[in-house]
Amino acid sequence: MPDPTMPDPTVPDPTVPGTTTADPLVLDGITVAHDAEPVVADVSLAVPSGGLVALTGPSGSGKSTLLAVAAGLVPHARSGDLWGRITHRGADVTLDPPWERAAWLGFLAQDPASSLCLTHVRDELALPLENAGLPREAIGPRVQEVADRLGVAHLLDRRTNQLSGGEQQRVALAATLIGDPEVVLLDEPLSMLDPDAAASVAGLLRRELGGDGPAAVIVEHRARELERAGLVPDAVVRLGTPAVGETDRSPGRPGEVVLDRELTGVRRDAEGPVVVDGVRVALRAGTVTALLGPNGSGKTTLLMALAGVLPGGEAAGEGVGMVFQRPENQFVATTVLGEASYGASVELARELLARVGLAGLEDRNPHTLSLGQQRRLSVVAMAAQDHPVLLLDEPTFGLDDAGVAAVESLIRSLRDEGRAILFATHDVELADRLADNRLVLPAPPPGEVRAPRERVPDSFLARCSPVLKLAVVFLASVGLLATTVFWPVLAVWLLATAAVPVLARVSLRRTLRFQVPIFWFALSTFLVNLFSRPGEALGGWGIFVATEPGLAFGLALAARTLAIGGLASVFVLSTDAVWFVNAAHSQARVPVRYAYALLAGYRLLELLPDEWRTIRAAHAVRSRGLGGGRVAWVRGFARSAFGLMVVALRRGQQLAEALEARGLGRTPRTIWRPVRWGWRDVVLGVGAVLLAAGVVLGGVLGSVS
Amino acid sequence: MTQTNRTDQPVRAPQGRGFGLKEILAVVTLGVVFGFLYYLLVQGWNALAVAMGPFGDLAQNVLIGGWFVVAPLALFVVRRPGAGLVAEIMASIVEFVFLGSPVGPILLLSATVQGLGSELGFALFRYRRYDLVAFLVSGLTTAVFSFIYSTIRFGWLGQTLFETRLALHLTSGLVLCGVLGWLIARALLRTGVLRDLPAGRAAALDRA
Repeated sequence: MPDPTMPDPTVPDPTVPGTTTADPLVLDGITVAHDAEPVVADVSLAVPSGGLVALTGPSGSGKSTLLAVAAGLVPHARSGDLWGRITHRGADVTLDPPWERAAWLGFLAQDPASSLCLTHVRDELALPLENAGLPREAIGPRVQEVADRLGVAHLLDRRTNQLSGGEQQRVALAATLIGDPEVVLLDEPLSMLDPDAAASVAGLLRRELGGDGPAAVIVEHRARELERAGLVPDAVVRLGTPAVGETDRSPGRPGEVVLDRELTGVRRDAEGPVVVDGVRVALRAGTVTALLGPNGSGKTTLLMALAGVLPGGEAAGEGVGMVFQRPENQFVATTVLGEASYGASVELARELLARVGLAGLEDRNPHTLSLGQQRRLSVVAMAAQDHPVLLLDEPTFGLDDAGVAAVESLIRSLRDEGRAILFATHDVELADRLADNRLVLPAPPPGEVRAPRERVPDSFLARCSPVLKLAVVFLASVGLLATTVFWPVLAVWLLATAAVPVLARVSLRRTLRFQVPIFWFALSTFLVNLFSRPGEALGGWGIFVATEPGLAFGLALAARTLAIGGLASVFVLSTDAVWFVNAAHSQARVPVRYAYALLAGYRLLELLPDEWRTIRAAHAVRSRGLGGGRVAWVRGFARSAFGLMVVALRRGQQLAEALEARGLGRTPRTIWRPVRWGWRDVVLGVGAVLLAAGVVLGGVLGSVS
Repeated sequence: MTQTNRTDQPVRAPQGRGFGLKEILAVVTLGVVFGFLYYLLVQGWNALAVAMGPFGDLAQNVLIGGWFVVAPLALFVVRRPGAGLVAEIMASIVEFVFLGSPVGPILLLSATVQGLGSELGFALFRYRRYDLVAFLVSGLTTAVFSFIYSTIRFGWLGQTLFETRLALHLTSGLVLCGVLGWLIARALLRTGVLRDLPAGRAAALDRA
């Protein structure tokens, strides 16, 4: 149906030469500056309907920034000064925030793990449709249809943190395409995938994009893999000047064997599955070995085992240094020089920094460097510590050609110093250029990922409204603060604890185990009151004198602690986190931004245990041989905790951007599967009121008699 | 790099009212990270309580400041009235819903009281100061609010330990929430991770 407000699509747009008002996306004279330094300088590009535009250029040339401008992240969500104009079919959309642009635009950021915002795949796919206000009954069929088309139907009931890298990227793509955008922006959709997954995602892109499908702007270093899949751009826009890669292919000069280990039954953590079994690793000084294998085959675990940072294997890592995949996980200092000289000499650190082009940045905070600079810093920081064996996990991950060339020449120079180097990579061509030997791991069997807490069993209480449960438990707990009687309050604890196995179908054993901290707390409350209240003495041991009021208060306050804990177990053991937030949104009218911030926070929380283990291991490698003791432990813990905070804050912002790119914030919006009130809620409400009345009456009668 | 030679004004995004998603999520992230770290550190709490023998109950007064550091941090990052209260409430939901804390829904009440205490500290400076002084004042006001609430909840009034508790509680607020909170805030700012949040923007303005 023709839209009368739209300009005639065939008319050339007089304001932007060479484009028409039919073009779904036109960037006109875009300049972006940070602190007055230009990141993008006067770039224009037009994306015709169904067209494919490839964006190329070295890292730092502003490709990702330009995508962020098109998506509306600059200036709405990210800092930076923007000049220029963005139009959609002739209409100026420069001031439209990302969620408004989601009506016609899809945006997929680089890291698939950070572009999945929710804990369940089905909800992830439904979210853009809910934000677009699609009628509720249309959402389910549409999710199924797109999932079938993109080959993710078998993943619909999975949790997002159980997906492999390739599966994550497919789901993220499905969520980007499900709202039928006219244009999609893809930031390196293949960069984090192994060759098989990359080929499959590239094939998917060829089928979905261009022609009758959405137009696309793609940033991708692995252009060859796109071409192999038949995805040929209609136009290439080049930013900056191309860098020339190094072509040295000299082999290493093998020295003596410096590491020879047979790895059997290696687990990531004590309760986890065996990840590496029956692999022999022998490394000679002055050689480079490539470690290859698909996502999830255990490359990182193998490296961690050799570095001696897996539980129980600490003795193994003598003389072995390891550089982790994400440099920011391993930073221990607040300046570049401090990082490079940590546990090493300052002169050597300065010399190494100069060799890899980081001279002049000594006083910068490592976190503020570009990814390429961070990677080089983390490699020289480990090299400065003088380990004969160096392990590198994906040292070129996320880098452009110039960044790869810089890391390659660094690895060669370390090899020529006589170090034995083992590096994990997906990049087969890099392995061809660099490695003297190869070690290939087989594909993994499908694994299980543990949830942060035990599942909630289906039960009467589990099906009650979480909002009502919260209200009942909260009000009852607050009411208990007004009492100082013993028996009625103890009765509340007994009733609550008995209710859990009956109404929530959680075993009594687990209920009591859950309450253990509460028992301790009640005991200490009792003792402290018993001995610290002046009054008639009942007896004593040395300085501890038990008193009459101490006993009365101690019993009453301990019972209060128990009762509040008992009520807490009713709520906590019967309430699913995601369902709670959904109910808060659909029943208690918690605004959508708060509800989805909490849901994304829950997803983030599921990622933290892994991040924490990685950061702890990465720091352990850095601090080896620098002395132990309690002070060192506390410092190490504090450093790791701070590192976790930085990583989490970065991820949190990526999740916020992904949510807005999916249209969160558009109105009106649909709630696909709202939590509704039911008969159970009536029973719970009436029952709670009757019980409360009974307890109050009991208390009054007790105090009268 | 050359300086931009543009003299015309850059595009300005219209300022929305209320908290943006990025800001709320930053606040939730702080709640999630601290919730996770507390979860790891609860063992430390128990160890301290055991080491203190029958006075183990006092451990909570020693460590209390660490439990409300998230509020001044959120105010520092987001720089808007209400951020401290929102952060405390979000953090409490993370604790009793996401991590399943056995303390349960009453944490909502503690969070509200502590959040209001933190807000008062920054409100005294009309939300214009985010330096060590503001953190210390906020740490103190939060400790006062939290002490009054805990006195009611745990029946501290009438115990001979009352003054000791009060002293420990306030000191903990000053040190763990005030000093430590400020150190974390400063270190976070230096990493550049706050660049796209109000704290980072304010720092960029200061540099310019």
